[in-house]
Amino acid sequence: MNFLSRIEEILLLAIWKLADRAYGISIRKQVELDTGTDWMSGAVYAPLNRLKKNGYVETIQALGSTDLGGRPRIYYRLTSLGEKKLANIQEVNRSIWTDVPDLKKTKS
Amino acid sequence: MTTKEFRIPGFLRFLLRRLSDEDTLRSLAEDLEDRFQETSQEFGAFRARIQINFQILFLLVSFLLETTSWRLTMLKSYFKVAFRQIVRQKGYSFINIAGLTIGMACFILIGLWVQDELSFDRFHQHKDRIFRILNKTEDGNQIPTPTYAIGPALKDRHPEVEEFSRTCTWYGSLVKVGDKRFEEDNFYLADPGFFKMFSFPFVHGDPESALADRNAIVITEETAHRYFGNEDALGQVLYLDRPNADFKITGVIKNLPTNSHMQFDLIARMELLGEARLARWEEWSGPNYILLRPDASPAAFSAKIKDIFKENVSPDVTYIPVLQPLTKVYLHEFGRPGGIKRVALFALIAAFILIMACVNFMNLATARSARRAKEVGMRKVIGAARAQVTRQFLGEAFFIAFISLVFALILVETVLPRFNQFTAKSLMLLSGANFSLILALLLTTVATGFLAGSYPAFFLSSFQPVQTLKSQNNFGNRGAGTRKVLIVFQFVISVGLITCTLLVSQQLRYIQKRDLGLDRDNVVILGNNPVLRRSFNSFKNALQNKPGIRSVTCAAQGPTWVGENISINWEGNPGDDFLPVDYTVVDYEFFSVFSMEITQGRSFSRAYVTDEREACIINETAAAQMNLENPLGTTVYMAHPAWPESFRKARIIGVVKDFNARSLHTAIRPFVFRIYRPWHNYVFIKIEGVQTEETLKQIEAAFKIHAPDYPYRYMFYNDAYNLQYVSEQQLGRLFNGFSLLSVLIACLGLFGLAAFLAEQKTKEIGIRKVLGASLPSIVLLTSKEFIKWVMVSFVFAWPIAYLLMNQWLKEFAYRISQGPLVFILSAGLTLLLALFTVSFQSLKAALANPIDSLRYE
Repeated sequence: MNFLSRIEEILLLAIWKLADRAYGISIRKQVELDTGTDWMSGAVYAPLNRLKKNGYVETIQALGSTDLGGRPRIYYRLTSLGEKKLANIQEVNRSIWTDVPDLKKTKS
Repeated sequence: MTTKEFRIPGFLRFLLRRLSDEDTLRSLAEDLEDRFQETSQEFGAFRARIQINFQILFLLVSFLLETTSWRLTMLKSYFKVAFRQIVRQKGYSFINIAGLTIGMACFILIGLWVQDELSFDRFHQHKDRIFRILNKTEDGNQIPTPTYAIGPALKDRHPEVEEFSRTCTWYGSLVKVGDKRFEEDNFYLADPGFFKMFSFPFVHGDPESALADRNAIVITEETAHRYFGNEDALGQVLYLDRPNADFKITGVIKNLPTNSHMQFDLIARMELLGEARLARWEEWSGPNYILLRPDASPAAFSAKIKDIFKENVSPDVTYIPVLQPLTKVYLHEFGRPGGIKRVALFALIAAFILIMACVNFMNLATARSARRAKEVGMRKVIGAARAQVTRQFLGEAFFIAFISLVFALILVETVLPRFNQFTAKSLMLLSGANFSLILALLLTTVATGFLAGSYPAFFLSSFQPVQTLKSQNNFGNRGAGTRKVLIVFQFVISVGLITCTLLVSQQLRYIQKRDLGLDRDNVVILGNNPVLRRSFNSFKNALQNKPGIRSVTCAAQGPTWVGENISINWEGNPGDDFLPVDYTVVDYEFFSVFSMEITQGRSFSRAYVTDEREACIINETAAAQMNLENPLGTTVYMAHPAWPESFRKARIIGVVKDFNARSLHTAIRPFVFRIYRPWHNYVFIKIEGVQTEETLKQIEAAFKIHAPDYPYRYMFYNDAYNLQYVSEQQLGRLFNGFSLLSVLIACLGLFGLAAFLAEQKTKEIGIRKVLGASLPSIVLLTSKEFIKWVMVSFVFAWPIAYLLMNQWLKEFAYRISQGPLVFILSAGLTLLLALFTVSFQSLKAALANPIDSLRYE
């Protein structure tokens, strides 16, 4: 079983959440929203590039909207492999967290 | 609100394109743009720009890590192999690294030196517009001492000239500061334009107006510190005994950089020389510099002023003014390549030494290829492409080159103080942000790695895996031809350098030993001064009675550093042509102090009252060139513009034997001596040479009595004489060092190859020994091959060295002839060294117990 890194997982989820509104800026902002911190562009786009190379996401050009260069904007979406992977991660996560009480509550 | 446009810089775009795919790059660009807009709206464009640069930097690192992590494993393997090779083959690694270290250290040292030589006078802001005026004579000589009248004339008459300044060294002036006295040697005179032309940075004062006043003086920081300690020097008053006046300090400049051809501690106004002298068109006086306006063309201006001497001196003069760019003054002193030749020579030697070290690397790598052949075969079988193997070996070479660079830098840092000492420079390895040097070093290292590694890399990577993996191989013999050529190349350089070294030192010894026609041993020089000049007779009498002192005289110059010339006419001169002669003014006893022989007539004598007014003594060459059967009594006319008319006529009272008045670069020229008191700048005292200390103390005591104000300083004539050949002596010592290093590197390489060959022939030697071969025959077996190639190198080295040294020796009018002895000696020396190096290995092989070498099979 090939595990993804945590940032890859977060990215995949962000793209899933954004559905057909997932493009560069929105993905970064979604990630920032989810994690609550600022992200360097390099930390986002390098793994994104890797995800694409490994076939978990694909890019499409949406003719309706344009980026600031006046060209069609690049949108990202999950491939079927990516969707399967995400489902798989959810399963694994659930199983590793079962029977673990809320750590924050028990501590205080 | 308008927001600024933002784009990823071109070269980053190029890099990123290599590292990521096009779509990612576009999203990224959009993202950066968005960030930029957001930040600049909130905090302004400046902050946004800084932030975006951080983003880009991080971006690059992220993407680089992303891609390299896949290749890192392979790279790690290469490093591991390279490192293991170095550790396992300690001997070879040592030879490689030591050789390259020495080679690179030489290269860096000479590089620093060359950089410094080339940087002379380039710090001036107007360097491209400043020109020095040279007098170009009919025979093509260019003399940097035109008349002092030309500078102001050019500025007055030609709008192209923005500023001018003449310079002059003001000798032997005593400076009084309060009750402290200093004697200054580096005292310059110049015109108000000086600091407007040349960019010597001011600490205090204003360069525009610093020399505006007649009694203004500008001093360096170091001088200011000597005079006033930490007090403020600006506005202070100095007293100078020549011209007996007070001077006000109007500026303090930073100490002069060593790469300036002008070196001075104090600088005052040119007018100290006297208006008459400055206005004289006939005299060849000193340097004149002009600053042309930015839009003026030097060539056009040069053509325009071509006839200036004809118009102002006389229509007959044949010399013309030429403009020399300031940046050429130092390395082309007389308008022709001078120092630049030396720079080129040393750059060449540095390159050769580095190449020799690279050759060692190549030779050893190819010779030892048999050992690496299996590795190459294995890598190829597993799937390495040829390019990968090439890259691996090149990488190893770079690795070794970088290790050597580190060692070389340490080595340079250690020897730099000594190197500075005898090149009289203050070079520094990494002074401030010497970016170009760092770049050059890295380039050199990469070039070295490439040069040393490329041949082995392509050679080794060409192996066929099947062949290398079969047990029978003989790869050691491959590339043997190239190796031989490279050995010959190395020894051609070594033998050539040794030959040159021997010849240079022979010539230097010759200069030392040559009979100059005068005796310069045990002569003490003192600087004369106005006070001593007045009381010279009593000073002389006081000394002459003392034991240990033979005779005392004074003169304008020493007899071996005369540089003044004048044209003379004489009674019975058949043509109208004047004879150019060297001349100097002396005193009685001059010829006895220097033991110069009078061959006809008599020396100057107090017995004849007329001697001070109208007597002269010429040398044999002058007598011959004037074509005089009996020169005694002939009247000579010397039109010196500074002399009164009555003094210009003189009668020949004696002929002195020929002597070398100038350095041995030039042949003996006609020479005339006169007596003329006002110009006596130096005192010469011939001493016995026993109990020198005592004698010097006596001289000092007498000096203190007669000129108490002046600091006492003396020098031996021989030391002053040797100063004339400083550059030759430097050359000699540098040659010594470099030829030694080149032989060392060549022998290192030979040592490595011999070791390899002996190792290869272990079995053969074992069998021969078992069968009864003698020790000498075995040593011969392993060494003869190398010795043969070393001897071949002589054939190439000799003619090259001969021609090169012929060129150098040509610059001396008096020189040694290149006998065969030097060539045989250099060859013998090299052969001996090579033989020693090789036979060390051969002997080791020959002495080994044959059982050890044969045991395996």
